[in-house]
Amino acid sequence: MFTRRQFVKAGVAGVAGGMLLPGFARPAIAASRGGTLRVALTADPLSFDPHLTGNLQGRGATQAIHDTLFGISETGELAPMLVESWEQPDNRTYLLHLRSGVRFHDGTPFNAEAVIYNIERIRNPDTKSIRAGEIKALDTIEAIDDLTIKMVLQYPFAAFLFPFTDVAGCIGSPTAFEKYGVGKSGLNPVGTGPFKLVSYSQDTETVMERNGDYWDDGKPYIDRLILRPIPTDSTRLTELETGGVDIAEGLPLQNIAPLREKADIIVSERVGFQWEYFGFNAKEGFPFSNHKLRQAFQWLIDREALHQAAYFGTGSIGFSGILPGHPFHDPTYRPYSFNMDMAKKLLDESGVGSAEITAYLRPEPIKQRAAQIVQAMAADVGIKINLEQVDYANHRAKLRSGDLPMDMHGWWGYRPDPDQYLNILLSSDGSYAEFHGYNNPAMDELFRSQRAETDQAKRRAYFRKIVEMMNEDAIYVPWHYSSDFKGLSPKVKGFRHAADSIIQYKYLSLED
Amino acid sequence: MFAFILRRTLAAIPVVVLVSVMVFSLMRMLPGDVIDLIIGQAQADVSEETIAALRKQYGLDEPIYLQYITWISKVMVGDFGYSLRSYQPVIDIILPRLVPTLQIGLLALVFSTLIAVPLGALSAVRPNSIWDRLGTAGTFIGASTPYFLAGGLLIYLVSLKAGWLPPSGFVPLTEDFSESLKRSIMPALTIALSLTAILLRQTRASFKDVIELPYIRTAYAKGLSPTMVMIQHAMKNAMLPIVTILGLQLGMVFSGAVITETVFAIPGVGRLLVDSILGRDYPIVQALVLLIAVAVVLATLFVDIVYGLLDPRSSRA
Repeated sequence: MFTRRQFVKAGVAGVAGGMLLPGFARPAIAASRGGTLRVALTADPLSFDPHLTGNLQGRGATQAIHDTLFGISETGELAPMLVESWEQPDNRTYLLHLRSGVRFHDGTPFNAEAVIYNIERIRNPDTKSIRAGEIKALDTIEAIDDLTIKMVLQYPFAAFLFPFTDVAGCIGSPTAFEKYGVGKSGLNPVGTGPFKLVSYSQDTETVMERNGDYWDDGKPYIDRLILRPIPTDSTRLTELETGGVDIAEGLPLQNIAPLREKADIIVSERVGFQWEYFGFNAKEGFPFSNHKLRQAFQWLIDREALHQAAYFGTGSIGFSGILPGHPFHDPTYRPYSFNMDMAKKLLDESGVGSAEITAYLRPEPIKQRAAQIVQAMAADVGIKINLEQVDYANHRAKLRSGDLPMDMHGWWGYRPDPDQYLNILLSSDGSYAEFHGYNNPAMDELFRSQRAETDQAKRRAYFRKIVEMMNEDAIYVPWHYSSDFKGLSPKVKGFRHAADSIIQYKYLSLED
Repeated sequence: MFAFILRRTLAAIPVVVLVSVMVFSLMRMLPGDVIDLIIGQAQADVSEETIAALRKQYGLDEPIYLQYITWISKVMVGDFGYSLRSYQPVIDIILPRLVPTLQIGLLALVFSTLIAVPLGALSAVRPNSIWDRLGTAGTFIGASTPYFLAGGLLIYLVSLKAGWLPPSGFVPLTEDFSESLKRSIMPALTIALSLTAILLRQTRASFKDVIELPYIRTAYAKGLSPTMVMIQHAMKNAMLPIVTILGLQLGMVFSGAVITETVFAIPGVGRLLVDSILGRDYPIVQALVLLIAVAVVLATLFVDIVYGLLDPRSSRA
């Protein structure tokens, strides 16, 4: 039995984390059966179509209904799930051996044909799946037999299988997809997962029930799962404190310290959930097309002050896009310190003199606090930053148009391989790199090299070079790694805090 | 009277059309659309071709006036389209959401009327008394407290500290009467706070005007008790402006619902409106604004009719 403090430490150490799937050995403790687990989410899932869902809540709910092809082990490696084992005969070919005896909720069999149907559905332009970009390296896919699939890539890509640990790898029943079509499949999901959808009422609740025929060893333990979207932080927390829900996600950071002192709530922390950066627009005509001006920000940012003020001391300061807990993360990599003299020197060398920049913020209190601090620090060296808050859609539109002079963003939500997001940000054909006007052939070459490499140590070395080049070019200036916090009632057992924040409901049970 | 009602009804139609055009254009002028939001949340690498195809599928690539014509011609036949985010028919999303908003709104109106009318009348009859001072202080607090603060305080004090009521969610009256009431009281009180402030000032002023009229003095001179004078003689005339305010408060109920339903996680039209604006879910925003505009216009019409019945001189004006 963990004490509350041990539980938190375990979360920090990542023992409770990983996305941790079958095969992850644990002491055999018989979990209680039955009961209804109520979870407070920050937003509504909106859709359960794995190929269309966008937000984190949609991804989480979709993964309760659909199993993914792969899982992630505690150490960040690919783990078996619907794919029981796999081989890589050469660096462009994969052979996947599927689990046998698995059925969809509608009784139809899970097999190679179903997997191919799903992947082709993502690739079909008519589906207009936002996941298509994640598997664009795929050239051909074919069934060798009923339970074996052969995938051949257009080019070597070491991180290719990782998207299949998330919604791109969720396999739905082809019969159901055909029956409901692209539009209505979102509310009529049929997977092989531990839970079946019973009812969905937007902004009210999503109700799921146990899949009694689930393939995985007597799981899940709870009978019923209720997901309630509660957008206001304080209300969500009060629901947890008064016993209205058993788990609450997105705990407000200012409440973390007092909550840890409470005996009737468990605070679970998973470090390395997202990284924050200041992004600059390097296109001609923007002040940050000047390399020295961008570099000055590496020195004028007091990361420790930002960490304390914006994050209430939670998470940790950071210098790269590779998050703590990842095998490629290096905690000793701390290339910059707060140094106003250095910042002023770089500014003098830039020849920019004084600059006035408008930074657009999304409606997030953390971003606002951080931006105000950076505003003051930049003012000390003569750079005036005007802050303007816009809503999410507007922010994205401005980012996409390439009109943002300065972008206070962050890669939100862990991805198991850094290629999955750094490529988008840094490769010249990545959408975010295009928004920021970033194009560095040397960087492109580094990405090509790490993708072709199957040796993990060599890939790690390549990513170190990528991060060093990112910092040197200072298109993005990383400054923080934040944690994911969840509040649990002590009666919730079996909780494993996944790095991507998605709750693995099949391991949870309720005990009084 | 029939001609009066007809005249007012016809006059309301252009107002509703104008509101729909304004909302339609303003929403489309905002930067960013539903596609931006979905892709932004997923932080995915989506090709320009896919974005263009999605825009085409949703009809977002057409000129605004064409989009408006398509929309309004469908609305005429009762088709409000599909939600851009959840692909459900708009009407199926909106109709169930009216129940919580109307239930809580009506409860708020009942609360505010029960508090404001007696207290306002008492303040008018006994100026500078403890009731009058209480009313003035209450008005000040009620009018100046934002909904999110009032709601947050209620949740903190009543749910967390006292443990009397559940902090959020909604249960329909038909499903579980007592649970429904428990979950409706705090949001209704939150909305009622500012309604009460306005209604109280109006009631006080209205009664004050009436009790100074000669016919009230006559009633007193006839030896009637103050209570009888108030109920039998002052009430009918004093209630005229109060009825007007009550009717117009329907708009305030909807605006109060926008924040209150978010704080209390109530699946009503207020929260739907906020989520849909932020999510650029145009079909829902358009349908909701049209619905609210029609409701406010109908409420105003209703007030006019009641006013006309209470004071026939007004319907001849």
